[in-house]
Amino acid sequence: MTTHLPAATIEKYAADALPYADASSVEAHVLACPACRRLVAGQVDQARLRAIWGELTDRVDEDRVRVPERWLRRLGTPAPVAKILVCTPSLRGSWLLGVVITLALAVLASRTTGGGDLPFLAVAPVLPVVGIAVSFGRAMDAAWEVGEATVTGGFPLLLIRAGAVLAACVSVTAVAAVVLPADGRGALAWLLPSLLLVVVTLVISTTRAAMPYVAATISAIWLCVVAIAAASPRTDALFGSGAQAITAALTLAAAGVLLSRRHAIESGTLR
Amino acid sequence: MSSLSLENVGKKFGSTPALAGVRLEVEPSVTGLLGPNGAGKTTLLRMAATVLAPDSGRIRILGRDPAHPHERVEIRRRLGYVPQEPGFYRNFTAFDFVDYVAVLKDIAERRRRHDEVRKVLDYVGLRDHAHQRIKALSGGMRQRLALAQALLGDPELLILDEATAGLDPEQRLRFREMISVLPQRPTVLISTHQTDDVSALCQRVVVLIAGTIRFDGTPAELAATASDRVWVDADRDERAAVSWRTSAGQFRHIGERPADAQSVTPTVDDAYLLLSGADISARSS
Repeated sequence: MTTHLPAATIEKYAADALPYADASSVEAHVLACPACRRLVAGQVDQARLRAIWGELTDRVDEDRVRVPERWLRRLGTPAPVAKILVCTPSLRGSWLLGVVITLALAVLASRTTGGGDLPFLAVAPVLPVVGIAVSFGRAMDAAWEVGEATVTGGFPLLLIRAGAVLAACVSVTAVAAVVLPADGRGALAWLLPSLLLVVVTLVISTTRAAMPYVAATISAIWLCVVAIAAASPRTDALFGSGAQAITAALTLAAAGVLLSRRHAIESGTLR
Repeated sequence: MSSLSLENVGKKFGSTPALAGVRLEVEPSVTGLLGPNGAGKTTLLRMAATVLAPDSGRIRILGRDPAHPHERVEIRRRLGYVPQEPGFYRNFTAFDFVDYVAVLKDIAERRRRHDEVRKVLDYVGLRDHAHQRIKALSGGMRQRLALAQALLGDPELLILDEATAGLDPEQRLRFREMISVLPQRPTVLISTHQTDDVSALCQRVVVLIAGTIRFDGTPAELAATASDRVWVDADRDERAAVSWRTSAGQFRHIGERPADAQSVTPTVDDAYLLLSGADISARSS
């Protein structure tokens, strides 16, 4: 003969008034007894049930957060931003590995070719430019158009992704700069040119030019400029303190232009 | 108030005009946009989704001007969009992808966002596949996933570009069912090549050919434009603009009906073929 739960026990269970051990017994019983399950279901407060069920399903979904996203959150990145960053094409492992290998080769060239830190200074500013170009736009982001029609689409998304790519590149490059030749200027001299190239690339991309092509052109121009500077007797003309001051001023001016043209990005100018 | 209003809108890509002087008012209903490839349907829908700006003319969406940044954000809050090629992160799960779009749609609070994601996945019948990677989903499931992300936040305007392309007949029926019983009854603007989708789903149909609107009315009114211009015969009639052999073995002809031919009741398909066929003839001459 099956023993059913007393009505008083069901009432207390439904009111969440049973001790933990007794509540567990009730739960074990209702799993095997359809009659008591129906009685319990009829008495449980539906709002409370929905809340518990919601929390349960939420936990199940939460456990499936991807590993890089979980790491970013542990580092203090707000959850929504972490979610956006893991969808950034140029923050994927393959891209970061490419950056590390390129920088390693540049450092090696700087230490072995006798050209000082010039190979490093030529390559380091270009990496964030390429990274940002492949982080945004129809050609590189599979879900670009879906994202573009959302509140965060356009300039806000571009800023979040550009910021993340810059942060990643600066971190890796800063580590690489430590092993440059001791008499070099590379530890910081690449930073302002890099910012300038990034901002100029974004500004030009607010016209109808496709960002990957703009990035490629700007990078090629930069490499030519460095090559010309390397051939001249005054290489400091490009990386000395005077040049850095001019670069800083140009970066600020370009940033102003970018801000004034941000609506072009929000109107879907970038491809 | 119109959900979408286009006033003399034009757009060119290089020297090629995609839209020319388009005037359109879309009221709350399901409106089908019908037209051949290259007619300008996608361009028009991308403008309606605030993804593309017109070269000339004015657009108002949900009573707001998308040219103004603040108004554009307000529009985007109330908009759902399925592009022609939605594009997915294939290694993401269905849940993860919709959650990502929910983040972009500024549903910041995690619990509310996840509830919303579950709700839309439930609606399109993907709850059981929520934690499956997108690369493992079938084409029909991916189309439903694209619809799910568009339904986030109960949009007032839903824009669907070729959303039934590539679906098998059963999936298309399920899709029609989903669109026709949307709980919030948003304004739906859907582009398609499928005239039967238009007949079955849309209260209104707009035919766009070569960047201009050639017809705007109900599907029945569209079919009526071919009245007296469709006839059936045992043999092919060279005088017809378009003709094909039907499953009954007879030829169905569309065009200027000869006096001796008996006309038959036209369909939306006939009328659309007549419109687009006439355009092809005009262009070739």
